[in-house]
Amino acid sequence: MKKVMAAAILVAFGAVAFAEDYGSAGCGLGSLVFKQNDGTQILAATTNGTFGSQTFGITFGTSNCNSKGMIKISMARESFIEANYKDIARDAANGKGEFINNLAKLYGYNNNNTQEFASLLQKNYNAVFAANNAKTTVNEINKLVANS
Amino acid sequence: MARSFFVFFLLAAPAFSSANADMRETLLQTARDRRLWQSPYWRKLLYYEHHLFGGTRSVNTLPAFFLSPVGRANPEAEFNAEIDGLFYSGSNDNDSPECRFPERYDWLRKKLPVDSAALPLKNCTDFNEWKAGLDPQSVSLLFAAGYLNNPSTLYGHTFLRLHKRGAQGADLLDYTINYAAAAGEQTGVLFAIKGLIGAYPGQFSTIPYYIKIQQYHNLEDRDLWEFPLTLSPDETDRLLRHGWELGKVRFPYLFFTRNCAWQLLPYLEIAKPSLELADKLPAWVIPSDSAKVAAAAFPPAEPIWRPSLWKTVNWKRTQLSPEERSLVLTLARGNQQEGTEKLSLLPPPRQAAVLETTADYLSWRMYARKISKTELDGRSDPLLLLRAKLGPQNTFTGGPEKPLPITKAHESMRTGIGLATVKGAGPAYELQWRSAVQDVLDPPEGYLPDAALEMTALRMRYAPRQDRFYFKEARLVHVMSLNPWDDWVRRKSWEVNAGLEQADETGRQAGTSAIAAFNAGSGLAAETHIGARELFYALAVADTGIGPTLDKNWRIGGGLKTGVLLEAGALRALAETRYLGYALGDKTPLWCGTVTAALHLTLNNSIRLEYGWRGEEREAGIYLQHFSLPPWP
Repeated sequence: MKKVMAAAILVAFGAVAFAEDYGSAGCGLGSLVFKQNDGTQILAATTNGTFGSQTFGITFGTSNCNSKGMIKISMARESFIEANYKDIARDAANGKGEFINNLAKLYGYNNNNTQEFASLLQKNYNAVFAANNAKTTVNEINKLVANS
Repeated sequence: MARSFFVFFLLAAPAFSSANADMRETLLQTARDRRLWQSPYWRKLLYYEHHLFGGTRSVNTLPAFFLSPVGRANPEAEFNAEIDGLFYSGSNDNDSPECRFPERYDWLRKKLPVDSAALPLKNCTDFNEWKAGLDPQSVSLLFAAGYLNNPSTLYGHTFLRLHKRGAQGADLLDYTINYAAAAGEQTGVLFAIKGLIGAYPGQFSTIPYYIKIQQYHNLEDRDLWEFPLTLSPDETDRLLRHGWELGKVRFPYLFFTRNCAWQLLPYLEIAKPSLELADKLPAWVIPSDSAKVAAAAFPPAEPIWRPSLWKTVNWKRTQLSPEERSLVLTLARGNQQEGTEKLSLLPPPRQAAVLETTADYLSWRMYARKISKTELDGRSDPLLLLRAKLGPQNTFTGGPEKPLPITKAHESMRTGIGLATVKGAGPAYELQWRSAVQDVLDPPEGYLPDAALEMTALRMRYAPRQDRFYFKEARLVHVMSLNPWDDWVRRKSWEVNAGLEQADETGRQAGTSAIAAFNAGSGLAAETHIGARELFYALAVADTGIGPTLDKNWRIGGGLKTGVLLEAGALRALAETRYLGYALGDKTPLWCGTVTAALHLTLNNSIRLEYGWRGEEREAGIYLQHFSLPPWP
């Protein structure tokens, strides 16, 4: 019964499965890899080794992760900006939003002064986001926050 | 055998001091007296199950999860190795069994009189750092709703979210605990086969929540539902201690049984032993059922809904005037220069609203693969800059209306009984069974709208006049996605079907023409509101049939399927017709159709009236249907 069902499913979904050009972790099938030609960043979650030492790499390599598979504190901002670039840009343009609020926390703002961070990014939108590049964005934001 | 190997190992290992040897002997003896290695909780921690051919075996396949080389099939040896582990004398505490398996040892120290002066707790800096990084104040179960465009995720996905203490609303920075199959970049048929037979290893991982949002909200355009789980601080600690242990686990991952959703249940049971979740579900379980059962086991709490990207764009569209909507299309798909000029004529708050909607719509277009990243950037970057220049503006307040959660949906399995009358053949009693999860006439609340997703839908009949049993229908797979035409979306509607049906057009007696049929269709649908709601659709269909009742035993052809779905509250009706011409094999054309009315009586009960024709055959039937959690009606 299971084999017949499997065959039927293959027939039915083989075509659809071929259509996917990224391996989605959907219900966990496939590691999280978005192929570059898709236009989205490459996010690779490889889980080799133990829970305690899994690697989780985002575009600029596994240097973002500590040995316990968590984002290094020192790389938290870069990782967040890299993975959520478009959403952050949109929220910054709007002067509000969930991604800006979260980014503000990474820069040490709290609920009382998050709006300052949002305004800062909105006013300097061009400088921060024009290059469409996460590293530039990180540097620009660092400068703005340091001088504010 | 195990014991002698064990003794050899003991002799080969660095000698215990005599004091330690005595302590060890006492502990081993106490453990034996108390039969601790048979303790249900400890067996759960090691995932021991009764093996098909007798004996006990752990589901885990990775050797590093066991302390004994024979630990997988020998719980007693594993337990004794665990006691030995207390005497670890290496230089790095982090490598000790206690630090690698904190929950096992936390439990062991409660069950055995371990002298904490002679055997103090180890200093597990790795584990403690990891715990401190996660520092959960509370835990939620996340359910990502099904997604018809990716077969591996048809029935949804579940994972846990750890709400970091002191986060002050910085949701996205939380970590999740996720069980997934590591399939690499495999796609296609091999991916499907391996997933069905359990060739992929399933592993646990902690992925930042924001990555999950990018995946589910953006890339896959799915709704996310969050069910708060009330766990006490002790239970949360246990969750973390066992979570650390789970890093050394590999389970065979099976799409239909031990899948992403199911595997979280034993984990939750370990954290909160008073739950009895895994027993409530059969082997075959879909993620939405796991989510329902897990949510129901905790005190009821209002689930939190994060709408998919499209739902947000769609809602913003409803907040715009017709001219503003048209302007969004011009900016997103048309001449931006022209659009920008028109935009400047609007008051700033409306300009901001249009720009925000356009930016979201463009993002959606890229994720839906209608445009490339380059086009997205090219079009949205100037618009975002324009928006930034407008400064703070009041654009949208509120959001899309929250739908009913999965916990308020009908159960996933449907059984039915009914009576049909077949022209020329008399009455037929019918028994129905459908595993999961919906057809177009089932109430869609909590599931996917305008869709059919059925795995194994059987209709068995007994015709008393002919004293015959037969399958009216035995569908293995039926997936249909109707997408009412929307100029912003422009998505086709489609259907896939595989199973057994009765080819009455061959002119034989009812129930004697079983054939295997596979078909697929693609076309368009349109929504109207003449009454409450109607959905019309037309699909170009390719069909193939195989069976001894067909001339030459097979046929292949194409044609048209049309249908109209009527929705009026508890009443739903569907009229479908199919016309197929066959080019090869048995060339008899097929003309068939059904008209069905379904009345939803209660959440889990419906009644249907159906009239159908196929070839010269005509029939009418009435059916009572009941939804329940598998495996029992």
